[in-house]
Amino acid sequence: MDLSNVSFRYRRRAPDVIRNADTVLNPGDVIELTGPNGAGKSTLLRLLAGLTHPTTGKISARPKIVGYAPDHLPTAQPFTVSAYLDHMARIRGGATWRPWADRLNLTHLVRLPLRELSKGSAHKVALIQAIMCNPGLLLLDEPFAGLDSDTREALPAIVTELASQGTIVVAGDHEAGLHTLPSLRHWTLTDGTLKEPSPLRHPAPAPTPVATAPRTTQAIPPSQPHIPTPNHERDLAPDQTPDPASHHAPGSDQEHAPGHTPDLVPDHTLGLAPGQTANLLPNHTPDSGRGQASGQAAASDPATLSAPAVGLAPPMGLAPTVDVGHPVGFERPEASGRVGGSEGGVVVEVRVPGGEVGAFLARMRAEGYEATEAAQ
Amino acid sequence: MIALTRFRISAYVRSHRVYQALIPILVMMAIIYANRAPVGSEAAALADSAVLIIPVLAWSTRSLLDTEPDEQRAISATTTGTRTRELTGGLLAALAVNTVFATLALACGLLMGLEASPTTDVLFAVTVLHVLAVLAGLTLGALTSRVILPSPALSIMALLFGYLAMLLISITPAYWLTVPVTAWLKAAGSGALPSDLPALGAISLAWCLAGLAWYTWLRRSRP
Repeated sequence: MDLSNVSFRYRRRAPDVIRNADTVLNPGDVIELTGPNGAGKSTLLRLLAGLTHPTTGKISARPKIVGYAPDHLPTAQPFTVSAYLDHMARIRGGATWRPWADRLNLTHLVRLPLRELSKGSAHKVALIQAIMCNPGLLLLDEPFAGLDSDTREALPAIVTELASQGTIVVAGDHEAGLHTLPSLRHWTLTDGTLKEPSPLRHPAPAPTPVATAPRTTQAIPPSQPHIPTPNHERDLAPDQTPDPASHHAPGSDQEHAPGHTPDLVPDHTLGLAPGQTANLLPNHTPDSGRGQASGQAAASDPATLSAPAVGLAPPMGLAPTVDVGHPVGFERPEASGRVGGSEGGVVVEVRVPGGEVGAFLARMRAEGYEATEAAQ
Repeated sequence: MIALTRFRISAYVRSHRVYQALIPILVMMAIIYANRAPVGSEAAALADSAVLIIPVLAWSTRSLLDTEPDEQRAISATTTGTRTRELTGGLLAALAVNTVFATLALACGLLMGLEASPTTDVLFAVTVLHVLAVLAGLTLGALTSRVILPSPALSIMALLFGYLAMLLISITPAYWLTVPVTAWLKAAGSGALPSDLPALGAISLAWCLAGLAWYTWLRRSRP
């Protein structure tokens, strides 16, 4: 499946939601799509599904059978679970859904009306209708939202199973639920630009001195269940330090190539392996409004570096898309952060401009985090 | 396609929205045929039925199409493979339901509303009028469904004013600018329905097809 310079906008004079997305998806690829709220992830999934057409560009070689699970199943339909899935199976040409209901632990609810389902159970129905036909392309919008722990553990195995049969899986996911998969591709959609960060491969010199941010706040998330850490051989090894040059740091050839516009996300990405922390601070480039970052990897307790850190991204929209084995990225050049382990949770240190500290603390506390303002 | 059509009809019936159209049609038939049409006015009585059921059929179409939530429409499109199949499945479901309602209306008229059986020519002509009423209702309902007009208030007004426009424009000499429903009534009242049917039918059919083509075109940017 091939995306050739795909752009999309909702109205004729509206700005592009997606700009010049150009990539190839091969059978068996599993792709995790992340990005801030409103970045266009669901729009991209709908484009991939063929539900909307690109404004410019082309999507070709789309697999014939597409499974699409929206972020929430519309439960305001006058069917029981079994009647609904029976209809979907008939439309699919006689697919069988009951084995999938067993695997997702939904069998005991199939006699219930859709409107009586909880969010998680409704989401299971959405997943079942998407995967029961062995699709060539499976599109999952927030597939882990509301799922119980058993299903959260089962879903990556199901995705792996489908991928092994040649299914292309694209999951728009804020929760990094597929991060245990060894061959996961990671797409980031920010400001309409689709990026796929390359893992770091080169050893690096000593950490680059970092810029001083005005003030520092420290947020300690509440205790969260531990997410198993995978073995990501392709990511930065514990004894490696990232090469700033590989991040297109200021002064690099690529950064100053004629006509080259620095992209925010690749400049701010850093492969992070289990047991590592990242310390990223921006060097501002006032003329472009974009920041640069350098990286520093350090050892820490891998057990404490887990998903709660990711929770910072939705409430603040400024940082970190952090998880074990995934890139660390900052969506705003003026924000920076550090992720480290501590007893009982993950400590995320975020530096924000002075005028935003109050709002940051309020938002973090509203989200249930323990947030304190630290001394400079 | 057939499975999707069954799914749409099943949702429409299970949601009980079907009664929103069925009950008005039955009430309307009871009023129209409260007094049996005298001998010689069979065409006029049955043409009245065809014209009066159009807004109800449009409402039925709109209601059936709107029964499906927006996100389910996306699921249906991926399930069937193409958006065209999803669109066609919805229209087929509405067409099937409208056909049942129109058949019911015609049957009520033939069985209970006439003092004498109509001639073969008249029977054929009023049957064609009911088929055209089905298509007109389908078109008007589809064009005012939620996927085209998301605002319920605008949608209902568009449906009612669309029907009024049909009635008023077809009174004028420029009746060919719309589905000429008033011209149907005039022709039936003057006994010229069988002879005028080809021209009136062609104009009506052309507008219905144009409306459905417009609906299909609009749906390109409204998945």
